[in-house]
Amino acid sequence: MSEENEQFEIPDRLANALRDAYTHQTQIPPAADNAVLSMARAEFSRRRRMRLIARWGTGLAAAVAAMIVIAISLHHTAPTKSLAKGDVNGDGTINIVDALALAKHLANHDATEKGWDLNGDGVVDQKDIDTLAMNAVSLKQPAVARNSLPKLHDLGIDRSPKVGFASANGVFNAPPKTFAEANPTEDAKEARR
Amino acid sequence: MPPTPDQSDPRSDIELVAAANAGDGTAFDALYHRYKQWVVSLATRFTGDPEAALDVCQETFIYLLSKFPGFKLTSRLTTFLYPAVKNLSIGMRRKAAKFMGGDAPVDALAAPAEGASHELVAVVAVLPETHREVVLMRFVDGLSLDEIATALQIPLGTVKSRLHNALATLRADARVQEFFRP
Repeated sequence: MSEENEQFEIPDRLANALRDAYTHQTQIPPAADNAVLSMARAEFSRRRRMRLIARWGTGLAAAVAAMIVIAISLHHTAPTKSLAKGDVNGDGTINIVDALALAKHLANHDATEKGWDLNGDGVVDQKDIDTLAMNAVSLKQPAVARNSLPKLHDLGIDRSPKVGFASANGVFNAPPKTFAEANPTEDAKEARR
Repeated sequence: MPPTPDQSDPRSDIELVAAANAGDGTAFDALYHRYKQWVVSLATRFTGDPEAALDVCQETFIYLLSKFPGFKLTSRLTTFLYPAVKNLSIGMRRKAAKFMGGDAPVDALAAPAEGASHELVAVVAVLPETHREVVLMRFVDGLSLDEIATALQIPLGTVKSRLHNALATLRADARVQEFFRP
């Protein structure tokens, strides 16, 4: 024991006398024990229940969240692209084909859409077809719109140059190559017949 | 004398606290049985009333229970319990004094046990309250100087100073000279 600590020590007899003088041997009745211990047990039991509930609740919440995510991902569809006003066939461009499509819809008395009311009079009718057609062929429309016009070939129109005569039986005759062929004499005509 | 681990549960205080933090109710039971007598004795010393001491004991362990889970035992459990017992005892005495109609400030008592040496009690009673408390914590409750400083939340130097002065007073008192004779 160091000298410093020795100055804080007292003889054992005095220490024992102090201990005897100030230690109370109070009897603790069993009821007092039960009061504390039953309260402690109830509290620990409650905490155990809370912990279980929290654990199950967390698992349940995770499962519900996972189900919601799965349901959303299964039913999620890409947002419908809002069609531009006048894009009747929905191909992303507005051109004369839309006017034709609109005319066909009106002729068939199909259901119309708000986006087809181009003149804004609240009715989809022939005027809207005219407006759509006028806009489609207008030179003022952007180059992009003009470039998006369908090819005539795609519409079934063949503009390849064919010069000549069509006979009554549908045979295509090549054009005359000489003056004499172009102006046959009466004999030549007879011979050709 | 500080309580020692009882035979019913060989786990240390730190192990019991860890188990109670994990939700083991039997660990708290073991702590209660280990420290209840010490708490009641201390509370009886502070209150001078065994009945009030039982109430203080109950309140003390309810306070300890409220610390779980998450209780960190950084020193001996007696160091943690001492201020709780002292404050609850003072509160109990204050309530009793108010009930009796007294307005005088209430301090912790240092009530002796039955059959205690009158001369020794008289000498201790002469000591200033702060000095007496340190002497009793050191030699009756068995706390180290560091633990006393922690429990009272005062510097270690102050504890040493108080204890040094208290022992000097005891050594100088003729009534307890017989204890210092070799």
